Parts: sequence; structure tokens; C-alpha cells
Amino acid sequence: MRTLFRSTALIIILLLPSTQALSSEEAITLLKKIDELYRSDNSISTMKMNIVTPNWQRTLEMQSWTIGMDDTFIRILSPKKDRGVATLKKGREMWNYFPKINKVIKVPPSMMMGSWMGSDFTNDDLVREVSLVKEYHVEKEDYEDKHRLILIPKENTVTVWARIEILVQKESLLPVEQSYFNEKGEKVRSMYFSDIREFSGKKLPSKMSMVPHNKKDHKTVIEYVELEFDTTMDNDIFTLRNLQKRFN
Amino acid sequence: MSMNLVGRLAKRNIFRNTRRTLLTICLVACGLAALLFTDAFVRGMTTSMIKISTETFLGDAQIHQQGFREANDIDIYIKDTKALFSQLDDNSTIKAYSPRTLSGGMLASSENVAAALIYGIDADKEAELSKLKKAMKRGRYLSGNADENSSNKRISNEILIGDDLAELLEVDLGDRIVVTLSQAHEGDLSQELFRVSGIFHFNDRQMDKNMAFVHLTQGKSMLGIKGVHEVALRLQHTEQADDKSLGLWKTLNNTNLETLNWRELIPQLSSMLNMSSYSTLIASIIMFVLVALGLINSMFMSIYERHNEFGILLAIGTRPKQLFWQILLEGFFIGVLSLLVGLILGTLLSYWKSISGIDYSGTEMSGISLNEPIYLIIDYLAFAKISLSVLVITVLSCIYPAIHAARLQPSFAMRKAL
Amino acid sequence: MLVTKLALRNILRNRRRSILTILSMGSGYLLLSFMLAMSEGSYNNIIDIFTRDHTGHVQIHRGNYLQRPSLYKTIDNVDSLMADLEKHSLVTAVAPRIYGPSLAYGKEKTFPANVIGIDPLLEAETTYLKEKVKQGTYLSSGMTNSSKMTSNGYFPAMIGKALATNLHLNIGDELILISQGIDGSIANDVYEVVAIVGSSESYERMNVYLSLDAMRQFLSMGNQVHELAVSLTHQSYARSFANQLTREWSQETDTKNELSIDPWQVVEYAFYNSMQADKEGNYISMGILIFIVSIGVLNTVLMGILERTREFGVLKAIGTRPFAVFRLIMLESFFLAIASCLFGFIFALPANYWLTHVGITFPDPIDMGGILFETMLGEISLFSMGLPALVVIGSTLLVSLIPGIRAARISPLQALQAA
Repeated sequence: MRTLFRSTALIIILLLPSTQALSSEEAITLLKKIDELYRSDNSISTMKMNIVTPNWQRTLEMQSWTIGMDDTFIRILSPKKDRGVATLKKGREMWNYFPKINKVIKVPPSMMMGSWMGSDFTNDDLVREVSLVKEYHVEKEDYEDKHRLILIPKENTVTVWARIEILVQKESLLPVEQSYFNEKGEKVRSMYFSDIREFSGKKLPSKMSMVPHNKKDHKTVIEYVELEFDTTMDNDIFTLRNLQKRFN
Repeated sequence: MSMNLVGRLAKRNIFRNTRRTLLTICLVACGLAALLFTDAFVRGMTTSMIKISTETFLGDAQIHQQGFREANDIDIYIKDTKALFSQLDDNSTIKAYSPRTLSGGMLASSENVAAALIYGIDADKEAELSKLKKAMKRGRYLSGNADENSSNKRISNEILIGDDLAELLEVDLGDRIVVTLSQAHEGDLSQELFRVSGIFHFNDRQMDKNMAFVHLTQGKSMLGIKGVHEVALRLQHTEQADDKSLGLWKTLNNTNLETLNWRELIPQLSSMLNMSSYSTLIASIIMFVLVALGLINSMFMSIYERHNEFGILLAIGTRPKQLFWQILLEGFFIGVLSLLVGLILGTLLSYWKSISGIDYSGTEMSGISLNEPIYLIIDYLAFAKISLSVLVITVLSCIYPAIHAARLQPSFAMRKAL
Repeated sequence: MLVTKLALRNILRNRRRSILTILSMGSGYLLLSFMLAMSEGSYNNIIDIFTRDHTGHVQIHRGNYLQRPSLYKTIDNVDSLMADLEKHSLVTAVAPRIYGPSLAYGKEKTFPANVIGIDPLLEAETTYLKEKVKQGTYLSSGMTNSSKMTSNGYFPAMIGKALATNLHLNIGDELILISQGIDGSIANDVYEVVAIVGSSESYERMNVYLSLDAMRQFLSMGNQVHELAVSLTHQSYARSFANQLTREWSQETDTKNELSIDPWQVVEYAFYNSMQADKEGNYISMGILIFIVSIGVLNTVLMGILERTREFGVLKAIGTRPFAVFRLIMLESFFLAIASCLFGFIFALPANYWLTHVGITFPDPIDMGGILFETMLGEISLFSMGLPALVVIGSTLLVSLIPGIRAARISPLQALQAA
């Protein structure tokens, strides 16, 4: 989900020299590729989000429009109860629209770290533009038939994670698993990539499963049904007016 | 008979029946000692509670921008801090002050997320005012101006959280915490990375679970403001907080600023203390009545026993008035003796407990955790007042018996046999 | 019996002394009784007021909801459970509650709020909520009425004072609540503010109250609740009732055995601890008072006996056996004590009655956690009337022992020589 909101217009900052100069060059290149995987000028997509908790299970179908890394518009298509609920993100601000009561609500900071629509992703995940290359030192090692990228946050990076590891398939150069570690070195959550399909000429994993390791029986799976890059898009989509438009 | 003789007779009569006199003295002295002890206890408890509230974090008084307390809006802050601080520095009544920014926000760790009150404080000034520095259980307090560190960054990303909060977020010293809060004036979201540099324990669930402290500069920059929300004050003496005649209340209360003392800030405590003093008053009255009754009883017993004697005295020409005074003086002397004994007993007991204290720790009264024992406080003036009151009661109680003795008919009195 | 007759006659013989003794000891009884009534009364009064604020005497939850609340820990089969409870003789009312922390939106601002679904009728019987309505009207009685929408087509809601202030809401304004339903769906709805409850410091200040039906719709819940607050005939029954119910229900299988039943002492343990500490302090002062009363009794009785040494000497001289003398003295003291207690009782009863039903009004009402105490009430109970009697009689007998023994053993010669 996070990778969805990357922008093409990023300045790549040279990483500080490390002892393994050669491998870090390769590592940076690989990381850049991962960063830019879902990136485009704009994108339109239809996706399914399946949320599993110990108490309930739900599948949301949504349509989403993005421009670069700044603007995003998501509208829920199903289930019927939540049909028409929409989220608009512009820059660092976020609004929700609830059709049942016909109100637009700005998301306050207290909600930002809360989950988005009950999933294992936070509002913050959606809002923050994170360029892995920009914010992390990266090193690469081999792990079976995969590359393992080890990301350590730079000094100025604001994040709770002490370390992120990305396993990349050597053959396809597509990510397989992205794991987040805390200061104690424990794996707190992992995102698994699978089901490679072709979208707008690009080969990408269409399925991403976020699994928290510290909470039992929780899982969120995102599956792209349709995904189009760099088509013509109306800027009017990313307005509060559009947010409130009646949708049936 | 001259008054001198009356006096001497009175003194001697007391010791005629030593047992009874001793018992009476015991009664009055114990009553007095109990009253003194209770007075010292209540004083100790009151002072303790006030001290705990004001010294832990609140301060003797606080200054806010007008309207901040009702609305709790981070947009309402004290803007001209420089002028205010120089004013505070010049005021001799103010012993210390601590400026603070205050805002609600979210703390996120790799494991969990929690809401908290985030205070931006001046490390040195806060240490002079509140117990935060002393409450540090693990790690270190925020670095002050005296601590020079090679990288300023390391100082500024220090954060202190309570042990309950640390447990909720599953963090320990050195772990990452991302603080998210909303900037003032409808601003953006502000997020910064901090490292847990210290864990405190106030023994107050509210504080240990809901408060986090960062440097004032960080607080200001995250909120995007140049002022502060609150300035806590410590006065030279806590009692001065009640003295509304002091100049500082006038200068610090105007269209912009609102300065309130601790009573106004936490009225619940004030109420509780009032109730305490009220029930103590009732208990004291009851005590007085008991003592008076016991005394009257005792005096009457002694008079009846000496009916014969009084009869003879009256018969040989003693004026009733002198008899009256004799009885009264007897009562007075008993009173004085009881007073001495009671005063010594009461003072000793109170003194002992003023050193060793009475331990109430673990309990919470009116939202204040009693984390230290209560030390009794001896106010000698109050002691003197109470002792004198007991003496007065003693003498007053003797009036009725004395009148009775004076009104005796000699012939009737002498008729009493077995 | 001769001894009895003698004892009684002795008492009546020296009427003035006896009367003084009775007066003195009786007053001791009266004062002690008054003090006890006052402290018991205030203590119970405070607990009563506190538990009626919102806690109730006993609370029932699913599992460890009390320690770790969660939307999903619900009590099912609510109707049959409540029917069962109401059959109990000790139960006066049962109030069901659903808790759903949400985000509340007013005109511009947003604030977290505790949204509570209640049955307005039952809630009014269990707590003071209805009396706390400062503006507007309480949610209408009965489940169906308050589930009816107002003329605007919205469900009615009552909100706390602080929330109303923070969101700038008044009667008739719209309140938007956003939360997550029990099925994961996004709970969102608009409500109409019909009342503002409590003060800015009271428990209700950040609460929103909806009817159970409205709440169930909001959170997509069925016939479930999170909490049952039970009100008993007297708060002192809380612990035993909770224990008994736990025993009964642990045998049952229809999820009753998964329920936790806690008395108010557990639910509000901080308050309970401070009350206990206070009570202990009270015991100390009571002890001191009892001590003083005992000394008064000691004084009186001792003097009475010692002054009659000569008399006892005469008795022994004419052949009375030592034990008989002892018995005589003890009996006299006993009768005096009984008489004093009766005397004291005659005054104590009306005094305590007045205290219990009228009480001492404080010059300034005292605010304890948002609840105003205006009067200090007393309590007539076995404790406040019986204990003083025990103290007076007990100390009298105790005090009479030694002089009684002494008098019994003294040689007639020595006794008659004492002047």
C-alpha cells in the first residue's frame, strides 16, 4: 500500500560511504527499483482488501486514483453498507466522506495512527510519503535464490522501525517479502508479495498481505484487480467537492 | 479567711484524696493529649496533601492565557513570554517558575500506539519546581543547560514517559517513539522521532500512564508556536498562595493572563480539606463535653464527701463566697496540673509521630496518591490555644459544683453520715 | 435474691451519687453513639452517593472486560439474564450498558468521546444520571420512545458538559459519531443533542448517551451488552451477593459461567482503598473517644466503690462472705451501667434519628468528584446503638473488678479504720 504512493519526481540522495562500497552501489540500485515499482505520474486502480481479525472478517472493494505521491482518492464500492465511503488525501491532510450522513470529516492527528477502515494499515501509512532510498541506508546480501536488502533508517528519518528487510526474487527483481523490525531485533510485521501479473506493461505482484506478528489472527490482504498507469486524469478528482459527490 | 488561706486550702484539699485527684487529672490530661494529637495530625495531613499536590507537578499557582483552561485549545497560548519571564524574575515572592507547552498527541512505538499529554519543559526550571527529576526511575532526566553534549540532536530528541505508558507501548530505554501532534492554528501534522531517555514513576496512575515530557524547544517547534501554554509557579511559602492581597495576583491577572492558585485549580482537594476540618471540629466539641462531664462528676463526688467539713466551715463563719472560690480554685489547680500532664503527653506523642510519621502509602484520597508518610506538625500556638480552652472548660465545669457548695446550709450539711 | 435486692437498694440509697453516675456514664453513651452514628452514616452516605453516580453496587462483565475493555467482549442472552437477576430479593434494579469509544464531531472540531448505550428507565433507577441533566430533557422513558427519532429524523443523544463545550454544541444541534462496528464496518451516524448532562468535572463530561437500540444500530450489534450494573437494597450486600452469584452461575453452561461479577469495591478499588484508609483513621479517633469515655466510667465507679470502703468493712464484720461482697459490688455496677445505657439510649435514639433523616448541613456544600455533599447524615444501626452500650457496660464491669476484689478481701478492721 505504501509503495503505491511513490512519485517519479524524486531526487536520489547519495548514501554515505559504507565499508562495502561495491555491494552498496548494487543495493542502492535495487532499492531504487523497488521504490519505483508502483510509481507513476498517476494511476487508476480497482482493488480488493480482505481484512481478517479474530472477531470478524470483511472484504472491501475499492477504486483508487493517485497523482504522484501527494494526492490520493479512494472510494469504497462494496460491501453495500459502506458503499460510497471515500477518502481524500492531499499533501499531508486527509478527509473522509460518509454518504449515509452526507458529511465530510477531516481526519485529526489522533486518528492518524489509527487503522484505516479497520485494516492493519494505518492512516499514517497512507499519508506519509516514504522514499526508502531517501530515508534508509541499504546493504545487500544473498539469501538462497533471493537478494536480501537490509535497510537502516538514517539519522533524520522519523520512523518507529529500527530495521526493514526486503527479500527480492533474483530472477524477476520483484519483492517477495518486506519485514519490519523493532529495536530488539524482533520482526513485528511483514508484508508478503505474490501473484505476479502484468499491468500497463509492467510486471508486478498483484497481491500484498500484511501480517502483524505481535497480534494473533490478524491479516490484511490487498489484491489489485485492475491497475492502469499514466492515463489521462482529471485534477478535479482530488477535491472536497468530488469527495461529497453523490455516488450510487 | 484571707484569699491566701483559701488558696492554700484549695491546694491541700486536692491532695487529700490523691486517688480521685489523680484519676481526674488523668481524664482531663488524656482528653487534652488526644485533642493535641488530633490537631497535629490534621495539620500534618493537610500540609502533606497540599505539599504532594503542589510539589509533585502542579505548583503553588499557574499562569495561563485567558480562555485556555475552558477551551483546552492549543491555539490559546501566552505569546509575550520574554516580558512575562522578566516580570517573574523581578518578583521576590516567586521562588521558581517553569514554562510548559502542552498538547494532546499520539505516541507510537513499533508495537503499539497510545494517546498522551505531551509537555514541552525547560529541564532546569522544571527541576526547581516539580518532582519530575526525582521521579525518574530508570534512565536519566532531560539534559539541562549544564550538560554539554557533542551533538545537540541527541539532547533534543530525549523523551520521558511514565512506566505504565512504557509498558503499554512495550518500550524500554533507547527505543524509538514517534510523536504525532497537530500544529497550532489549523496547521499540518507534526511528527518527530524521539528516543526514550528516561522512565519516571510518580505513583499516580494518571501521570504514569498519560504524560510524556520533551524539551521546551521541541515542544515549541512541533507545535509551531513561539509562546507557552502554561507557567507553573512556586512561591517562597506555599501558604502565600492563599494570600490574595499579594501584588502578584493583580499584576498577573489581566485581559491576557489568568493566574490561579492551587485551590482554584483543584477545588476537589480544597473541599476535602474543608470537610476534614469540619469533622475534626465536631469531634473536638464532643471531646470537650466528655471532659467537662467527667470533671463535674468528679467535683461533685469530692464535695459530697466533704459535706460535713463544709458544714463546719460555714458554721464557724466562712463566707459562702470564699467557699465558692475555694472550690473553684481546686478546679483551677486540677486544671493546671492536668494541663501540664496533658501538654507533655500530647507534645511527646506528636513529636514522636512528627519524626516517624504515619504511613498511608498506597492509598489515594481525592485523586492524590499518598506516596509519603504523614508527618505530624506541632503548632505551638494552636497547642497553647487548645490547652487554655481545656483549662477554661475545667474551671467553668466547676462553677456549678462550687455554687452548690456555697449554698449549703450548715446544719443540713453536717447531718450527713455514712 | 437477696444480693439483687441489696444491690438495688444501695443504688437507690445514695440517690445523688447514683444519679450523677448514671448521668455521667449515660452522657458518655450518648456522645459515643452520636459519633458512631455520624461516622457510619457519612461513610455509608458517601458510598451510596458514589456508587449511585454511575457504578452501581455490583457489575457484571464478560471475562476480563473490566481490566481490558474490548468491543468484542459482550454479554449475550441479555434479556434472560436480566430477568433472572430481577427475581433476586436483594436486587432493586439492573441497568444494561453498551460502550463504544468513538470520535465525536461538532461544528468544526473533533474530540474522542465515550459513547454509552443505556436503557433510560432502568438507568434512572440505578444511577443519578437523570438528575444530572442540566439542560434539555432526559432520554424518554422506555426503550421504544428513545429509539424513536426526533422530528429531524435523528436519534436523540445526551452529551456531557465538557464535550458540549469543546464541540460548541447546544440543544438541538447535530452530533456526528464515527466508530468501528462490531462487524468491522465503519460506524457513522448523526444524532440530535437533546440534553446536556453533568458538570465539566463529573464522570459524564466526555460521554455521549444513546438508547440501547440506537447504539445497537450504530455498532451493528445484536442483543448484546458490555455491562450490567446491578443496584441492591444496600451497598453492604455487594460482596456477598457477588460471591453468591458467581458460585451459582459458575455451574451453568449457557455462557453464564464466562461472566465476571464484581462488587463496587473491586470496580472502584481506588475509591474503596481511600475509604478504608479514612475509616481506619476514624477508628483511631473512635478508639480515643472510647478510651476517654472509659476513663470517665473508671473515675465514677472507682470513686463510688472506694468511698464506701467503710461500709463494706461493716458488711464483712457482720459476717458477709468476701465473694458476696464482690458480687454485690459487681451487680451494683452492672445495674448502674444498664441504667446509664437506657438513659443514654432515650436521648440517643431521637438524636440519631434526627441525624439520619435530617442531618447536619454543611455551610458550604463539599464537592467530591463531582458529587455535592450538603449534609452529614447519621445511621441508626446495631453498631451505632449497640457498641456504646458494650463499651459502657464492659468498661464498668472491668473497672469494678479490682476494687471489687479488694473490697472483698479487705479485713473489716482496716476498712473501718479508713475514714
